[in-house]
Amino acid sequence: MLSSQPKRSRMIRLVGCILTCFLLCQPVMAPLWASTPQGNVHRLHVQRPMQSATGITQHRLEQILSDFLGSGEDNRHDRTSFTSKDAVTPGGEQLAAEWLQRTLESYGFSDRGSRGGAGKFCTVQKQEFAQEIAVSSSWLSGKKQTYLSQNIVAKVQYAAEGTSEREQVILSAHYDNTFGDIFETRKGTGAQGALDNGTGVAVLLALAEYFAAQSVDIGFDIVFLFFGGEEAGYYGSHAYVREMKQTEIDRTLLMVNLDRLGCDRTYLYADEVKTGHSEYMMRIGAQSGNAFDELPKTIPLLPYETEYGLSYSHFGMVGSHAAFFAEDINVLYIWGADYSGFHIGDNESNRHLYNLSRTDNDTLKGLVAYFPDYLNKMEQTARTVVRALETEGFSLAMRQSKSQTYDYGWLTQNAAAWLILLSFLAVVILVLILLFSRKKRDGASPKKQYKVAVFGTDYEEQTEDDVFLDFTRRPRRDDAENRELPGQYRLPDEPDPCAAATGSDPEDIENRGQEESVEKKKSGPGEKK
Amino acid sequence: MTLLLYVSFCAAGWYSFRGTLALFAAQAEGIFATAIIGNDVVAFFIAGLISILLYELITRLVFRFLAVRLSGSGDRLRYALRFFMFGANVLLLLLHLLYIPFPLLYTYGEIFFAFVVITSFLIWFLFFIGKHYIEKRKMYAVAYHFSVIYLSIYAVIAFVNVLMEVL
Repeated sequence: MLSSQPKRSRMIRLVGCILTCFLLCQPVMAPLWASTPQGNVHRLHVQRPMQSATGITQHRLEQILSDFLGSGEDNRHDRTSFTSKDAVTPGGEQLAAEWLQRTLESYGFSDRGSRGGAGKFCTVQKQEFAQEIAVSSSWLSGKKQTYLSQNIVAKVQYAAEGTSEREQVILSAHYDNTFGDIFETRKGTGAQGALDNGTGVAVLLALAEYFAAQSVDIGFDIVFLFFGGEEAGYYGSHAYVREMKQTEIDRTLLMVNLDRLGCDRTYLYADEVKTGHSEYMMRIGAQSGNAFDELPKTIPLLPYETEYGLSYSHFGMVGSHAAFFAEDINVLYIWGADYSGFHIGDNESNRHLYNLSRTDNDTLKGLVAYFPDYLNKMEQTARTVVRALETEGFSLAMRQSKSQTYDYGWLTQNAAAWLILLSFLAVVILVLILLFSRKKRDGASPKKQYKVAVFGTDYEEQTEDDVFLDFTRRPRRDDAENRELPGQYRLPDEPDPCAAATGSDPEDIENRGQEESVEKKKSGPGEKK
Repeated sequence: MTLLLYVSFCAAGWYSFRGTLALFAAQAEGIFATAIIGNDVVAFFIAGLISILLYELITRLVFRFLAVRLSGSGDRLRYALRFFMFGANVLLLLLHLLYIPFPLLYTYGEIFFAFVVITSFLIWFLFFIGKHYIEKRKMYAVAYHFSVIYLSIYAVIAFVNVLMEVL
């Protein structure tokens, strides 16, 4: 006991020293801890980025957003999805797409592929697609109207168009809005779409400008997708995915979808399970001073199916990225919202009662008033994306993430679950019916035989299988005159109303009844009293 | 007891209904798109309305049917069943809370949790009424009819859902 005390104090001193050293080393070690990814990407060596996104500033983003929305005669406020019914009369959406194409060309992109530095090709093309929609007024007749829309596809690649075998990263944003009526069935909101999704488009344009200007090969191609027809139902992304070849799908490392940036919080969502690529981006974001918010666990699960093949959806799953996710491509959805408060809808801010997007307040002026910090949010997102793509080990992290993500498909098959239940119910019902019919057949529960106990037959042994009717004269009491009424016959197991009414002992009445019965027997069957 | 039962139905249906309400709030305009309508309190109290109405309708029909078949009154049984449904609903609320940490349970949970819990409580209910309300010789028929009606309703629901999923 005495010898253990110095030992213990030595141990305490040792532990104290280790803890002190650990704490003193923290300023030196902190960057090391911070740059070590957790989870699936723990083996990766995420290093400082080779370059920094110095070209992407808040001023530049503000300028791009302002140019995109336009003003006066040259405005692009109406970019309503599918406003072009034919190629001759372009709608607002098509005009906006043409503006995007021109702008990208001014950044060095070309429809034939302009050769940049380091053997780089920058191409921009318009991908047109048509959508047949049942017209509301003639829905019963099945008449359909064809609507046109288009995606703008810009690529930074290191081989001529169509010949690249390199891996690629897709960055995307939708450029349409809900200004006017969509498909003539959905009323327009008058929203100019400064927030939804001018902010996303501005960031994507800034990223395209930045990467087109870089002379260093980062090891993979980058595709910039500007989707049309998103507000009508994510038609642009579906049209693009339909055109993708399997080889292109296989060599896509990551797809990042940007939407509604500039809100109070910026969320990052990848999948229903933890993925390496989301953890990677989270870590890069934290390093860049742009901590993305994770979707809260209490997010409402929306009861309808999505492209994910789940039996539910939530606000992290709704977007153009869903079509890519369905093809097993790593996706990251980066969007602005605030799901931390009382509101369970697709809430942008808990400081404001009403949302900005899809309202006529969604203008540049409204955006500044609602979210004064929107440029900072946009800049942080742009810088994080650049930093992530330029970080060494990015490709490896994405490949590992794809191979390591848990496949939970079996858990999400609604039809399979219902089929299991239906089979189970069918078996149980069948067993019940068989048991019942068998019991009936075996006579376990035969039909009750009514046997009348009259004089000469009441010696028969009573069994539970029979209902024995003992026609015995029972007294009935007239409460008003407090006298017994003439005899009345009832079943033996029937409760005696006289007993209940008078509170008399039923056994006495039973005995009395039996006495009367004996008297009846004595007097003979034909006699009446 | 009806009020308690209604609250229990609210609790059981809250998690599923909050998704419907969130979707509605996300697509609606004006006041319907705000936190005034799109919140958990509204979701809770609306969630039980349809359930309690359906429950009352179905149990009235079922117990009337049983009363005719077994020549007696089903009111006492219907009253007793409310206590069992209350228990089942509370248990369902607890199970639905599992979706928060494990959202992937939702698909199978929505289908099997309700079935397993309600079936278990109904079996318990049958044992209870067999002990306290119904004579032994009648109990077999009661249990049989009750089970077949209940399972058939569930089978129809499952069949419709399978059809909807396949089509």
